[in-house]
Amino acid sequence: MSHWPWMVSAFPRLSLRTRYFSGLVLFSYVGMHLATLAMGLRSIDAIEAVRPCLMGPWTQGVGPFILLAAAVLHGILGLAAIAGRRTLHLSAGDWAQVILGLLIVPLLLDHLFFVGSAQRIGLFHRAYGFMLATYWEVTPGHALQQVLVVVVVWIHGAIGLHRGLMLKPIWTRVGPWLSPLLFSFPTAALLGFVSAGREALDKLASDERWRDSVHLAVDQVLVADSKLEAARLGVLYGYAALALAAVCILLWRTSRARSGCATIEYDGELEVRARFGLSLLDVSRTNGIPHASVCGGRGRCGTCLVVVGHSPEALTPAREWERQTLRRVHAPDGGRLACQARVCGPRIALARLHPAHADASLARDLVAAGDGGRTGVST
Amino acid sequence: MSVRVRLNELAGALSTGPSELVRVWQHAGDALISGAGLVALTYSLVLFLMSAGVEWLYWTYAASPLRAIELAPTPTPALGLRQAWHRLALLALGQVLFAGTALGGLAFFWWPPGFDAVLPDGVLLVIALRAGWLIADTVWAPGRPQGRLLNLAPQFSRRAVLCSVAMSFLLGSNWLLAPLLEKAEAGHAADLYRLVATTITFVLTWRFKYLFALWPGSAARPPGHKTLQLPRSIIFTTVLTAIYGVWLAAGTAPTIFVADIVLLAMAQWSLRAIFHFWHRPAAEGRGELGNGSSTLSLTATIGLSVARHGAVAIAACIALSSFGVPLDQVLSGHSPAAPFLRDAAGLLTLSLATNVVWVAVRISIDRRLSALKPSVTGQDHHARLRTLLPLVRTALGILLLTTFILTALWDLGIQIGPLLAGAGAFGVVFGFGAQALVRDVIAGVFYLIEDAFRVGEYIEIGATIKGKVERITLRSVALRHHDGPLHFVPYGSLGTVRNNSRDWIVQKFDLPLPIDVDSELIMQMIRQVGEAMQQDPGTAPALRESMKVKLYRIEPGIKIFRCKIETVPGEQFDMRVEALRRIEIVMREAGIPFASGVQTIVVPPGPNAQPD
Repeated sequence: MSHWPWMVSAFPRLSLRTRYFSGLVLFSYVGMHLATLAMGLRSIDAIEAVRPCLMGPWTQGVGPFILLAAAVLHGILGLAAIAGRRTLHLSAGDWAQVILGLLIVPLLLDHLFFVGSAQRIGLFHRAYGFMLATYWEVTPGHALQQVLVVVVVWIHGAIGLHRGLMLKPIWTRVGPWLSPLLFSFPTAALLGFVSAGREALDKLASDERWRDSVHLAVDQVLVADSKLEAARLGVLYGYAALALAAVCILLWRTSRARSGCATIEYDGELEVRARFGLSLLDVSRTNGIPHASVCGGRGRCGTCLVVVGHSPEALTPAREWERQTLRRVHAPDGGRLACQARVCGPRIALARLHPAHADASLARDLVAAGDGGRTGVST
Repeated sequence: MSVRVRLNELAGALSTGPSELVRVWQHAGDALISGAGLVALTYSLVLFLMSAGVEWLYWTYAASPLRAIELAPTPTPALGLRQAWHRLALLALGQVLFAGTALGGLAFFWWPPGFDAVLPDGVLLVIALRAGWLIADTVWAPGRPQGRLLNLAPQFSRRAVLCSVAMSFLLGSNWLLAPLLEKAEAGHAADLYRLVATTITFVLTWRFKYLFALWPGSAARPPGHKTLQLPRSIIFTTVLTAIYGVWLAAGTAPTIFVADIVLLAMAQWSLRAIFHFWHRPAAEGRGELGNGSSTLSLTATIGLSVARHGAVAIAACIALSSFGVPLDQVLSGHSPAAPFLRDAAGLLTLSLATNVVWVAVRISIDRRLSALKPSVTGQDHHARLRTLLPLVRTALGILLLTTFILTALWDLGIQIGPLLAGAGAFGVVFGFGAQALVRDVIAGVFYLIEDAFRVGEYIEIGATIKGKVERITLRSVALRHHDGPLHFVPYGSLGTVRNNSRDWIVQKFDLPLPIDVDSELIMQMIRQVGEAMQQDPGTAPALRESMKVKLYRIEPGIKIFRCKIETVPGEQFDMRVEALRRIEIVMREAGIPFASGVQTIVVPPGPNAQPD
């Protein structure tokens, strides 16, 4: 059995948590960035007024390091997760996450290097007005990229956040107002971008001195930016190579003929053949069998719970965190999480315990029932 | 527009179209990388975020019910159909939210000049494409055979959906993008685009022609047999080539008109099969289209009627728009063609109403008739109904047709008053010629009022014509002679009718026995036979009274006994045969022979006889 990538295989829980929390860090940064931008609906001055408190933490002290570490970790773990998949039969949400995630770096790179150059030559103290004027007047192509990346990053993050939060009991309280916020937030930011851009253009037309200074500064930044071209290309190619490697590993793993094939029987009615190494959830998805999976195969929700009739040794043994989830959702004896149990024996008979249309509320109920049970035991 | 001009246009599209397309593409790229382009893109993304967000919010609540509907078991086709409608409603509501938000946002934002023409078209195209996808997915239902709205072999359903979506994209873009190209002063490019899109549409239609094979029996082909059978395939290809030829030679409007007519004809042809498919019995599964063995219910038949008229109305609207007749002006009455079209619409509505009433009458009468099972023995209480209901049906049909024709004429502005008066004068002339007809009809009315005969009764007319009443029409009665011939007798020449099927009938027969039998014993034996027949459940229902017997005549050498049985009409001959059979058995057991017919002549000895 392949142990690549080792991190995902060796510490699945750790890598999943790290990916989630680094994602949360990045998402809060993006959220604050967009909140700043949304102030453009009032004026550029309003942006500048809130900038120190919203963007300040990320640009001073340890902020940049945390951000960088989160970005690198999240990126590498994301690529590793792509490489770690064993089938191409993903849910729509998973596909969106993979594609949007891969798109982020190439779209964002120009912005990062441009801002980096501006910062290097000390122009960042009047950042927003300057950046907006540059985007709207000089390099609208970059701005198009920017606008796209806002949407891409936000959707990627929102899906991740939603998946993480919707299983928590708190979601019943925060969900109703957080959900609309998830798409009205970037809307406000984009509208702020347009509004502030218009203001910047007006100012460029009316204030000749400012215009000259902006043009002068832009020229300087562009010169500095062009010096960094090689580095930018290096990063881009490096990333492309990593992404390509991840995708190649994914394709290799999905297309490679495995050492054997197992017969899997569903509810005593249906029999399918499946490669060794696939999880039971993968088997359901590959064969188009409806199978509930609210958390998307992360072993958290318990909705994919199955009971394995005979020969439980035909599945990989449950790890500690699968056992935790099983305890939490009050799984019966012989219960396994279909997303975690991988096929390694010739014949398996299973029964799905939850209806395929189970949703997050059922998952929360399972957890709540589990919590109730635990409380009952302790008292 | 002459064919030559049209072909020149196409040649121009092929030669200069590509370069124009490249130019437009470059201009569009330049326009996008500018302040205006940035604003347009940002607003478009906002539009997307808002619309998709609102729909996503909806799906956080609706996704679970949707999956529950999709996964619910569908034991009967009717249930599958209902689930398909529920699913469509759920999905459509999501799309309506998306479309509403997108269109609202479109109207809310101030779009930069140049983009204000492109964006609405783009949004409309997306909405149309999604709607097309939804409709195709509902109709062909890949993976949900019980929820399928049109009959199609399961292996084709996914391809059918993709093909439908591709075609709706091609048609939609043809309709929306080509005018944009024309606006950008790239007429040849627009023509080129239309040429390519239309050609691909035709090729797709031809390639996936089994999608249009909706008529009965077409889906019962063995799997893997992809194409239509030869004649249909040839017809299809010919019609399709002809339509494409019309497009090449005459342009879009005549093509839409011709295709509209063809589609209307196909719809009228296949609607009954489709309705049968929707109301197929559960055991039939998804294999076969209704083959006419099952009859549609009243609501389904009315639905079919409405669908047929609706198809005509839609086809008419499409035909009108294809010739550039503005429908809104027609509706508001500002178009010169409005009065005519209003008349046509009125006629269609009238036809629908008449049809619905006729269907309702016909089906309820038919249902009542089929519920009236003729009873095997005893009085047939429903005979009169079975006689009168078909007549009522015909009479109502004629009445409805007359009303429809008169109302239609009136609707079209033709004065029917003079017509009726003229018909009165004409009627006098006609009446002289049709005396016999009128006599027949009036005589028939009285026969029926007096209940002289009913369907199934055995009657005799005069000395020669007799038979069982098979059919009763407004003018004549059809009698089936027991030897087979069918007599059609007009009521006018019926005269005296002898009805052999009313209340009771008496059958008499004689038994000749030798002169030396004991009459009392014989009569007792025969009465016992009669009582035994009245006890026997096989014969008792046909008998009204016990068999009577009397010594009727005494002739030289024989006694003739007369037996009399009173039976239910129609049973007399069988009862006679049965009585004779039983009497013979009884006689044989008692050792009494029937009269042999051989007379023994006893010659008394004369005086000349020689003594031995």
